[in-house]
Amino acid sequence: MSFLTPFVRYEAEVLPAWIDSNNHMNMAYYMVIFDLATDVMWEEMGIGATYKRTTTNGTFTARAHISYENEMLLGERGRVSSQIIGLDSKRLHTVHELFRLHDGKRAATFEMLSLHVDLSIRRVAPWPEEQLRSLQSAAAAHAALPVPDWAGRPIAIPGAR
Amino acid sequence: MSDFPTPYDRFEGVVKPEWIDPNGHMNLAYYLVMFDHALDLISAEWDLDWAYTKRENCSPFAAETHTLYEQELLEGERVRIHSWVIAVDAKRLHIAQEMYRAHDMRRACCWEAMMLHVDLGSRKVVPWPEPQRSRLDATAAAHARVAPPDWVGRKVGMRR
Repeated sequence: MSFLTPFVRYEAEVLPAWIDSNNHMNMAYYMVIFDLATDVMWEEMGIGATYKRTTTNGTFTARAHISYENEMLLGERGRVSSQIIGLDSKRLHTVHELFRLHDGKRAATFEMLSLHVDLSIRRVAPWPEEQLRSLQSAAAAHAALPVPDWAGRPIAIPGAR
Repeated sequence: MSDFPTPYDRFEGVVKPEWIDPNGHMNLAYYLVMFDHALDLISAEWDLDWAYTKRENCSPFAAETHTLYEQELLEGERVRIHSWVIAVDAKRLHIAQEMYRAHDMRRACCWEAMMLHVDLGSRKVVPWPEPQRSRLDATAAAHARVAPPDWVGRKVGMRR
């Protein structure tokens, strides 16, 4: 299986409901865009909406780290580029970048740790064989990409406690 | 301001129906909406809320947010949020918040953010003015008397 490397399939438009009192897209809605982008990528990897509909399994997000680099205004369009940087028996570690279409500037980076969950008991469970193979194949394709230098960083004011 | 609540714990919210996703629980993005609302509330204590933005044309912007999801939240569930100031410098505020389900006070989510003080005219980062800076420092000093939550400053990653 050839997997789009990096995975660039999703485009979003900033909706009126996403604008806050600073007249730009509120920080929470960057997460909405990244979440919708992962929906598309997950479906392609066999762990998306179809998988959830046909099994009692799905994925939950355990951790999410957004770095906000540029504002997004009402009606602006953005494109998400995604990369797998880690995979084990129950988890998937991905990084994503959101670019503004009109000037190509990066608006945000996003790092996410996802868990495979048995939704009937709401507990973390290993990926089934078929899904694991599909994820391994996608991860192998993405292993050709360098891991971005912004991944894995904590938040801190240097020198503070 | 030595009597500033440590942590600051006055925010209460309710999970709205439109925040529920196909997993039947609050979508990950709306944890941020609630943390943002809690941030508004504590910001009012420093005169850094919407009234300040309208008056001074400056506002805190989020530069980074890191969210650790621990429990699902269902429609109509009530939550409480606790807030700690971790650090302040001339232009930045590092803040940590924990969200609890009100019915059992189980922690549902941890969140930290780096906020920058931005001039909305130039869209540039500028220093906190006075007396806001002194108020932030006083809260930071009050909150420094207890240990910050142990999850602050963690990375996203797959520890094995």
